[in-house]
Amino acid sequence: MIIEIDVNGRKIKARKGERILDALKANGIRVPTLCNMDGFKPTGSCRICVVEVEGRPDLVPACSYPVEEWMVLYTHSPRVIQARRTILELLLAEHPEGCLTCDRNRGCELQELADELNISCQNLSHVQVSKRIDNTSRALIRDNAKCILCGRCIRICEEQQAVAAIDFLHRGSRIEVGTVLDKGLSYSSCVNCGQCILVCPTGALKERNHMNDVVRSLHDPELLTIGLVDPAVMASAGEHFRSKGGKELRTSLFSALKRAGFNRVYENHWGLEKEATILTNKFLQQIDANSQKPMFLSSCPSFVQYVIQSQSDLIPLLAPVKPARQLMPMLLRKQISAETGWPESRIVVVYLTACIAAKPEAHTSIGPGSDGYGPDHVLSIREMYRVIRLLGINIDKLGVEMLPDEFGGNARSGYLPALSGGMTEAIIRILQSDASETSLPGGRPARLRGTREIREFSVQAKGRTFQMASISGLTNFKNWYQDVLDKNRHFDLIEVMACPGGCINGGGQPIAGPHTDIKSRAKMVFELDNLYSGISPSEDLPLPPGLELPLQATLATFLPREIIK
Amino acid sequence: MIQEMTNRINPRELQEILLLEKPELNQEQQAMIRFLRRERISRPAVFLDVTSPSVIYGIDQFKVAVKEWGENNALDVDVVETGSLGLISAEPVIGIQIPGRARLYYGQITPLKLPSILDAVVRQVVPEENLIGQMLMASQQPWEGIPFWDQHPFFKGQTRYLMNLCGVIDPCSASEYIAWGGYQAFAKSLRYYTSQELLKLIEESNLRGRSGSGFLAATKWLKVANTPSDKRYVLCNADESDPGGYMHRILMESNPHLIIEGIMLAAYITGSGQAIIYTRSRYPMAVKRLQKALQEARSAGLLGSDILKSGFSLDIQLKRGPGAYVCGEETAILSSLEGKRGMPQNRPPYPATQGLFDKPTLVHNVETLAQVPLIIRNGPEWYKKTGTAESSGTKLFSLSGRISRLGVVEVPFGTPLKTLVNDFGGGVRNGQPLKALLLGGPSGKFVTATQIDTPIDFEHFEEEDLVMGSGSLVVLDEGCCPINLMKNLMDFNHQESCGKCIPCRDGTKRVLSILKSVTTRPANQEKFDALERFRGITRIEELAEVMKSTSLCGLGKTAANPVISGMKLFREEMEEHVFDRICRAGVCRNLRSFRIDPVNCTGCNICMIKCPENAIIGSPHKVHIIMEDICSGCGKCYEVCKFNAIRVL
Repeated sequence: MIIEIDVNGRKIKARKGERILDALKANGIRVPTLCNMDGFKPTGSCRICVVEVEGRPDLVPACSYPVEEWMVLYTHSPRVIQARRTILELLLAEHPEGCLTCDRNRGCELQELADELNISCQNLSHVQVSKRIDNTSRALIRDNAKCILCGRCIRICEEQQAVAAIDFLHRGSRIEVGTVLDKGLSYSSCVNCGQCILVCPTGALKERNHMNDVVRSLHDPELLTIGLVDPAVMASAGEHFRSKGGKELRTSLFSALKRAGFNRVYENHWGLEKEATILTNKFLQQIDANSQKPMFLSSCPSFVQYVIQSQSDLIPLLAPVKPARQLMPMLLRKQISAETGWPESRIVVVYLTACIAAKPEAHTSIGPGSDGYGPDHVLSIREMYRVIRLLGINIDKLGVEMLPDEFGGNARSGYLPALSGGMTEAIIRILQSDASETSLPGGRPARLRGTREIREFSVQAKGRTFQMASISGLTNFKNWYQDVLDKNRHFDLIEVMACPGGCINGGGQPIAGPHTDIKSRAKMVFELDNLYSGISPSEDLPLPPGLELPLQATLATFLPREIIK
Repeated sequence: MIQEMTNRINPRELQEILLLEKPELNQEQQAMIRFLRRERISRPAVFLDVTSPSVIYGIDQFKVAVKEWGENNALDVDVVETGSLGLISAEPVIGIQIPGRARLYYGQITPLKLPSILDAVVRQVVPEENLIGQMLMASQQPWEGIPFWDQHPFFKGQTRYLMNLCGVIDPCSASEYIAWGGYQAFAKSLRYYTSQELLKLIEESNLRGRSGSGFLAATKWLKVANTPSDKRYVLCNADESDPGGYMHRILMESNPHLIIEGIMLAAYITGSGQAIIYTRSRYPMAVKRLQKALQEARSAGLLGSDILKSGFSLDIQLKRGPGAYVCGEETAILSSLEGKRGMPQNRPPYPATQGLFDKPTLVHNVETLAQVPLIIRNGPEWYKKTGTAESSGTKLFSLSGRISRLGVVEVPFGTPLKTLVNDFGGGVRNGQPLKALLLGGPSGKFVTATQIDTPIDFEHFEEEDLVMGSGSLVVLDEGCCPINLMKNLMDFNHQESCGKCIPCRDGTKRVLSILKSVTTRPANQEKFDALERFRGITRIEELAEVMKSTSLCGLGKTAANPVISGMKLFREEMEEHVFDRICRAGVCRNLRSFRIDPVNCTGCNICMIKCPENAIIGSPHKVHIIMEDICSGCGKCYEVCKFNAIRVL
């Protein structure tokens, strides 16, 4: 029901019962928020969004209070602004003052809010609060001193990811965000997806920094630094630079990375294509063995972690295939060493990705106990941007100077795995590549693409019909899979990505607040994919000389690393 | 043994009485009721007030004392555990009854005194020392010349509707409660009335919530009853945790069946099949009593499925909260019951439409629910006769602080505050003048001596900008420092804040630190402490205002109440604290300054040795000097000086 309410002396239209905040937003009135996350149940804990309702003695939070007919609102009256400023001053009085050295400097919502509310000097004396930094995890670092206790990370972890690794501990002013028994993230159920980093308004959550190691290795003439770029980088790195990303970015990004000192830069295409091929083979083997159980793709490290921790009955169903991000560094090391004569131990492979969960896989390829796989360092897109900026490269001015180095040959579906459902589509392409098969109209399964987080489709290939599903977001998966079990539905292939939307919304992506526009990122991936989808199928790819042996040898034991442990 | 015999009457047998259409009992039933009411006893009986306050006085020793006395005199004596009369300052309270005579209540006695009193009473002599009064029941002979218990100044003038059985009956026994007319409202309602008719009675009775805000209960009940849902809940908020408030505990420990009957009626009227009592782990005796009472009600067939063959089913569960103050807030209770952190949630949606597990939930506190049986039993017209036009019924208050008689009193609305303090409470302790009252605990407001004529009802309280709270009343005399009290209350709020919303979490902390800077002297004056103090004082009212208007729940909204009202009423004292750095009452120890009287000082060195700050200089047999800028005001020298040479300024 559309009603009219009075806001700041002006009539606006609103739906009865909707949140005041939404009604105001639709009418172009901005009310600052801190704890609000669209699509989640409001908690109303920050009280920054309070507005004045005529006839009520107190101020009401716009984020949770429903619109009613009788309302006369004042969103920016002196009383409201004073209240907002006092609340923010209370926060700032205990917030560390080291903005200049903070990761989120210039990208911090608290900073923006202080600017918006025009807080020029501290009226309340500053209190130094010392809190322990949780650096137990190899992917994430939590600094509670910078935490403003908005609770967004807790809600995303519990409601979106069904992980609930963190929650509030203690009460009163001793309250802080922490893990169970306050032992640290590595002892918790954390799956390293990094979604919490994306929603954190301040610098309280960040990825473990590999940037300094990378810069050191770039400057070290004794080391050969190799860059391996994940397709998800192309989708969104442009948000950091002025260029639009995608096609334009692809050409200049490789030039920039080479100028920054990477001796070679590869795209991860061939590896992903190979992974898809191996997965297809395993899948067909399983189908031939007449197994009634579904095969779960094991490409997403967070999902694998989630399965191990929370759904251990699914471990045998995970596809026993090593993901490309672990396979490729090993192959690259071997090939480059063979080509150039550099010892493998002095070849540094840097994996540039949107995945925070890949971080713990770094540093394990060299040294005792290593299995030879995996990159040496993992850079998130944010860190990659910082490296490029640090080394003084203006990417917007770079043209097509250098193309990525070639490895293995062209790949057809190399860009797709950046999306949820992409790896499935790559597998379908391989399945349907047999000339005798009639492919689906338009060459792609109709329901396969889209922004929905739960997609189910049936695919005809090799003379059969396969039931497939691609899910993103762990809560979605948990509920969906419970439903599948309850209704006893059958699926042959299930792809799960921990981050909603896939790697284009990964924990290492540029931070765009809680309302990231992943649709445009997905569009970028499809655009890039169109460039390549016409080329020859991957079975025809020639293997680089000298690599057949290690590849053949390892194929048999391609299990996700975590399971071997 | 009476206790054994009471147990021998199965409460289920009393169902017959409950199912009677008219209160016409046959001979056998009348005898049973007289027996259960203990109007006629065959042996001397000692009634021990076993409640939390009396346990502190070692009530267990009295049991031993009575037993020993009985053995020595070769007499069978019954020992009955009862609740409390409400007169806490007279604990331990003991009732003595011999066959045929009225019951005598004694207070403040010791196990050593007890045998002599018993000796005398058995010989039909009444010692008047420590006597509270006699309680006369039907077919008993009164003691001549002995005052009745309701003539005692603490009880005289009280309207004891909720408390009338407290301290009289065995609290857990369902049969005794039924014998005194209990559960009849429930049985009658189930058999003869529909829930709509009863809801009308509640509406007409003008029942208002007793938890402070005084909202009309019927609005809530209507909402719960009319929200379409497959399940509804009744939630009894028994998580009383105001410092200085203990009326719910006394009621729960002394007459749990009254609360249970209220819950049953509320559940029947709103159509709820499940009810929950949420109380605290820190009330072990209340928990024990409620549990036992629930068990008895179940065995009497008053809980369970198809109660009294009416088709109505109800189960009441007792849940123990972790004891956080914020868990007395209704949405925080819901979170806690759902297994989450006990943190308040946004309202709306209100619990009445979307409460426990998103089902309509009726949340009331103990006192409000305990009113319900009275209304149903006696009708709304009777109920409205007590109290004022807008606020009907009675209200429980717990008196504490610097007052002569402590305890729980029940007064009709409209009684002036003065009566509570001067008549029931017996005035300020030691005849001191009254300085102020604190009503409503840590979220309450101060009442000055000039406002003491205000009648207790919601209209006048709103007019005078006072807070009734749940009914805790703390009396302050001139020896209390309101600024220090404000600090302590803010400390309580700060500790008990859940930490969810910024104004409450950081606001209480900030206001507390300002109040601390006002009530203590900085260790050294080198930092800008004075400036900070002044700056804090200029912000304190603004902070309080923001906390009040923007906090999420009632705790945060009212946390600043004592500060807001205290700053208004005690401006002068505040300024003394801030500028002159003195505390009139001498409570803020850190603000005291000491000086040595050169006439009395013998130069004994003791103060110099004991001074923790090394602020005293002097040599033996010479007059010592306190260096004021080093002195922290701890008062150690004052305590150790034997020659009265240290003067407090």
